[in-house]
Amino acid sequence: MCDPHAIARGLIMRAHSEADDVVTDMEAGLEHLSRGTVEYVDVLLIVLEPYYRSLETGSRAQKLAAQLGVPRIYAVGSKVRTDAERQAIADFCARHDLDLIAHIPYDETVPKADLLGISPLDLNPQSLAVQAIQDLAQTLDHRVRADHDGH
Amino acid sequence: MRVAVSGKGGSGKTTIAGLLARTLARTGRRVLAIDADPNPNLSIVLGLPRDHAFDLQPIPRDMAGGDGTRAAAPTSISTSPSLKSSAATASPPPTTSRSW
Repeated sequence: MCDPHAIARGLIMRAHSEADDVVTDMEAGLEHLSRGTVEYVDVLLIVLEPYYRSLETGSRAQKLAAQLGVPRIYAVGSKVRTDAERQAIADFCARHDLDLIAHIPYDETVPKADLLGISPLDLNPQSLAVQAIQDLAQTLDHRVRADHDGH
Repeated sequence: MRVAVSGKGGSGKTTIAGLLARTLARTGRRVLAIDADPNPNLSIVLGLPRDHAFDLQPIPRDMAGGDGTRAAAPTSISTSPSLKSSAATASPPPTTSRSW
């Protein structure tokens, strides 16, 4: 019987001794949260697009993750094109207790790279989405370190 | 730090996860990137050559199992410079290779 959730959970738990960082791309949807796959992570990022179904799913994800005891749950806006979209995500997060820490702008480099079968970073390292994700990495690092330093 | 990225399909989570992993690796940190999506696409965002993305070895049962895992699921590990990645899938194990 195959259980990819157990595998991912085991990997996250065991691999941390061999790596400085572990980044896991979870399966789409909420099932992994109800299975407890992310039990051992330090941070859960919830990716939110500026439309209601995505925001609603994100809110559910936050509640499930909080029940699991995930220590840090952050929302990240994705494919944001306009100030109105940015604000819509921010307003939703404020109303639903989601800690919004970054917006990744819509960036043509991403679909172009995908079409070529290469990484956006290799197509254009200066692109807006790449830069925003680099900023996100710094933000996460500060937040996690700040928590550890505080102990 | 251990980061998991979740979201609806097509939301950009794989792009964000992959670029986050590469960004951390470029600072010299040892990063393990895991593709836990049964439809794995992370390898492309990580910059693995497409012809090597499917060239993976099963993770040994004792490494993947941890405590209380019911069964070893087929998994795959692929790597690129400064970055190790792996994918957990429910399909029969693909063959793999590992290189730094």
